Amino acid sequence: MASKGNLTLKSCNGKEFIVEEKVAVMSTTIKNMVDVDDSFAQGVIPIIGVDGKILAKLIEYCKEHAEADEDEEVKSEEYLKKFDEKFVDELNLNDLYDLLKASNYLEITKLLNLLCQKVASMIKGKKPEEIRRIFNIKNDFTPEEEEEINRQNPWAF
Amino acid sequence: MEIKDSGGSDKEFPSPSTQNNSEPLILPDLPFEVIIEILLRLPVKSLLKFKCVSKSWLSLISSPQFIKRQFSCFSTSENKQKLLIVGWDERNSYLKHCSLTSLLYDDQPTDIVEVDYLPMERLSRYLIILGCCNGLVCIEFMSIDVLLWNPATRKSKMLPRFISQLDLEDYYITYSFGYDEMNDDYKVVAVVCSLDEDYNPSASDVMVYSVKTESWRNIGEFQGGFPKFGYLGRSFVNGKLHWALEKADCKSVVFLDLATETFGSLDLVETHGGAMTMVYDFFRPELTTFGGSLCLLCRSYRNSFTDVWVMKEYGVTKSWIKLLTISIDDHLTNFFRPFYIPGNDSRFLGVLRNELRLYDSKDGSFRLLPSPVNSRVAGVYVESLVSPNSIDAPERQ
Repeated sequence: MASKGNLTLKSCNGKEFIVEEKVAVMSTTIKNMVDVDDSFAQGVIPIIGVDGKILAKLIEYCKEHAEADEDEEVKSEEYLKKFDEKFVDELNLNDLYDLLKASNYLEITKLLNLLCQKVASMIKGKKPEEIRRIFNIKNDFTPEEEEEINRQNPWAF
Repeated sequence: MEIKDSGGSDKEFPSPSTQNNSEPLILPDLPFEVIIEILLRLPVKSLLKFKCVSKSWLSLISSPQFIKRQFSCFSTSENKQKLLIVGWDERNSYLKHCSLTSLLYDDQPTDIVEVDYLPMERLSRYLIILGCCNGLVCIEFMSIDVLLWNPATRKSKMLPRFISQLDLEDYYITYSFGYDEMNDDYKVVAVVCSLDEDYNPSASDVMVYSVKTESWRNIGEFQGGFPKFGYLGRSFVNGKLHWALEKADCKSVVFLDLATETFGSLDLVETHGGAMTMVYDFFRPELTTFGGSLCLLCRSYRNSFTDVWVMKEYGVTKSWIKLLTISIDDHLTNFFRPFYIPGNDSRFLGVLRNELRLYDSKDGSFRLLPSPVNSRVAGVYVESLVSPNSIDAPERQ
């Protein structure tokens, strides 16, 4: 069991992580759980649908940011920016995808924003049909409707 | 909520680095709220292109809520802001833009580019950029024509005239531009002052153009005097348009609340124990916007300095503070017009002698930034989807 000030997070495949509370509550979802039910603070918090590997990544990210929030001297804005850049650059596609979903579910806003920015930079130059493939979206326009929409901004293509 | 476990053995695809271009990018079935967050971070050009992805994407990208969130998102991020610069030669004006961060922080800013998709074939030398608001740029030509233009979507709208060229001789008109957040509407306000035999203002009418209704409306007289002539004496802050007044001894500014279309006034001077004053004998102060606050530039021609006063807390007279005094030990007519504070440091971006310069208050230096000759700064703008038309109709031929 975690000592005072620490929380125990358990991944969906049974891995347990003891983390400082200030790190864990970077997740609004976890913060809400701890706030409403004291037993979570004492016992183990199950993180549904997030495996050990992804949970470790999430904790790595939250740890850096929680420490920076506490002491700007040690971890400057500049340092965090570099950390963020390295963090997203080193992700493979699987991890990027899993982290997107996990940070959305756990409401880690800063991380979600960072990942969304990364995806945006990856897709901004793509063609509409590539976008459909990436996000698994069905084209529900008739060819005529699609042409009509595209006619409004021909220079964008 | 179910989240795929990539730690298991049932992988759907291999996992090389995102740096590997050959790896197909596949992110299926993301929650729609995550899709929205991703789209909010795309350039406007990509958003226009992705309208045809699906019906739900089209309706999202066209929705007023998304359009508002997009420009709010971009406005708060310094690296998404762009600087619009107007240059001119004997006959024409031309526009250039560049990334603000590149200009401020790169040693060799590379991306100052001429805008080659102007809203009209040629731009008159005599144009005035009235302001940039949520991606819309408002331009006045020769006191009579007003154009709303979104450089990111390349859509523009020439407003209908409410006065004939002939009648202009008997009036002076000051135009201003702002955003009415309550009604999510963009408004151009024209104060039309009629002149007596001595060319002094004798009566006024206030005309308001609304993008939503696409028409001008007369809302009655200007309150509290007459606005100062010329385009320098006004400012859009806090949902209100502000004017410096024509009276030489004015100690207040008049504002129009764009949501309620009612007038009010703010005091300029607050003296407590003689410690703080804003009375300048030789000139009338110039009103502008600085770092999102109402700002007053007070020039002393005699001593070649400019005092920059900022109303820190909107509407609170006591919160007027003198931000800095900029001295120019040069020619009397030189005047540094600061308009932007990058971040929280001591530097101020502005224009001096038609050149773009970065003033450092620590050592009083004016670093020349690469900009076209004969330039004035139009303002800082962000890319947005805001339309200058009430309904975003297809491009009219």
